[in-house]
Amino acid sequence: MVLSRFYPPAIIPPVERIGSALQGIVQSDVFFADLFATLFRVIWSFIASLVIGVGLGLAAGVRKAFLGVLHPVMVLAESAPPVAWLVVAILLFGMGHAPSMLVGMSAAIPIFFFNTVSAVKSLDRNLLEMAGSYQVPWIRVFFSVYMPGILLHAVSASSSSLSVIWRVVIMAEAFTSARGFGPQLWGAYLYSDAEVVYAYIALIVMLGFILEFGLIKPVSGWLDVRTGGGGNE
Amino acid sequence: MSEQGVVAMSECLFRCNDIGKSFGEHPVLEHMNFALNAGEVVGLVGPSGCGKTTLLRLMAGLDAPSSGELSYRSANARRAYIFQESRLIPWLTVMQNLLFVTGKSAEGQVLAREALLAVDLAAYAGHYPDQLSGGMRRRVALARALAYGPEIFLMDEPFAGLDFPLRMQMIEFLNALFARKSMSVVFVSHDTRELVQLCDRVCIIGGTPATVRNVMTMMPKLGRKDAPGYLREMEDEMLRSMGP
Repeated sequence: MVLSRFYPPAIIPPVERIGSALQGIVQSDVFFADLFATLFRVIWSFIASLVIGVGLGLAAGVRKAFLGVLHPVMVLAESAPPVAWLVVAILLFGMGHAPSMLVGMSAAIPIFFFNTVSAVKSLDRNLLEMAGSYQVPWIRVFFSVYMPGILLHAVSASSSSLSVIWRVVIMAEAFTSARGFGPQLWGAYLYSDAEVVYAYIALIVMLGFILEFGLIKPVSGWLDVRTGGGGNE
Repeated sequence: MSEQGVVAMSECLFRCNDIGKSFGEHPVLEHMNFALNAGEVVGLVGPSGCGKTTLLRLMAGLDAPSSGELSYRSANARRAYIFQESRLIPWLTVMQNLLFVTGKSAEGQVLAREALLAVDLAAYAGHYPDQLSGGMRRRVALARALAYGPEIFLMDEPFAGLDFPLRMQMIEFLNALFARKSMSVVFVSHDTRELVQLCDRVCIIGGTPATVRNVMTMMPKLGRKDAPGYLREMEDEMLRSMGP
């Protein structure tokens, strides 16, 4: 509101104009198609990152040899800019869902990986020794000791992963797709439609908040109560 | 040093034959001879850090001896180790903690339920460890060991950290349980009062590296209450054997 007094409306439009643009977006015929296209990419990137990141992190946490091989790969994936991944993904898969999902995964897999490695390393060795002394089968140890311990870290990682995926997928889909919030935002910018640009930014931020506080935080809170309750003196 | 009062292998559940254990260049145990007979509660006592837990871990198979051998009456003798801490899985209920060891089969569930009944905690099956008191958690750990159905119980200072009244309560509880279930137990403690009340035989270990210094055979538990001063006398002898 303050900035709109100093900048022309073409750059920072008044709040009420942004509000009516937002209303127009939500009421438009294509809103749900765009919403589902973006959510589809974000959710699948998230699920794939979770499975791959946790799986590789578990292997690396248990076996040092895997950690030696995977650690540099993950550092590389983490340090490469998303746009570099985007170019490679377009070359490999062409336009469509795949490039933006791949860019999302390249950003989130290392987060899940490093969190899982640290989760495995911080598992209570006393519990593992107890399981060993009672000759508990490894599959039961995996599901009763490893998985709950890892899950808590994975949910913590989910929070940062989801926000990263949310940001990079919207950036990537702007260049690789016709449907979704990214292309709409980019299109509004190209047509110098500042109200629509800010309305989409507001919408993206709001949806990010809903995912974070409506899904990740409640799950994380529930798991924290159940897995961090202590029980050993 | 050989152990006094060792019986034939047919009655003996397991025996440590001239066991030694070193950590790097540092020998902790040497020429350790020790036997456990069926239905017997044997105490291991010695000064802190003398190697009691190390010996118990060797018996449990959690560590391997550097020299000597452990021989068991049956090749696959099941041993339940009761640690100093309860080591309950905090995100599992009491019943789930027991099923973790027994498995969820019908037989496993029966064993778990019976074990909870034995430690008077059947009403707490659905509770989580953080909802129980310290003494109750120790009893759950004991129930877990019972549910495992071992031939040999290895208890490593199971009352460590409990206050005096709770400790006395646990001693009474264990004595009743030992008698009812005819358990074969190796009980490690540095508290002589616990040992004189719970054990049939007490091995005093000490020295650097540690060896068996003395073995005290106690009078039957039923008679102890009628022998005034007996427990005090045994405690004093134990302390004398442990030396300075």
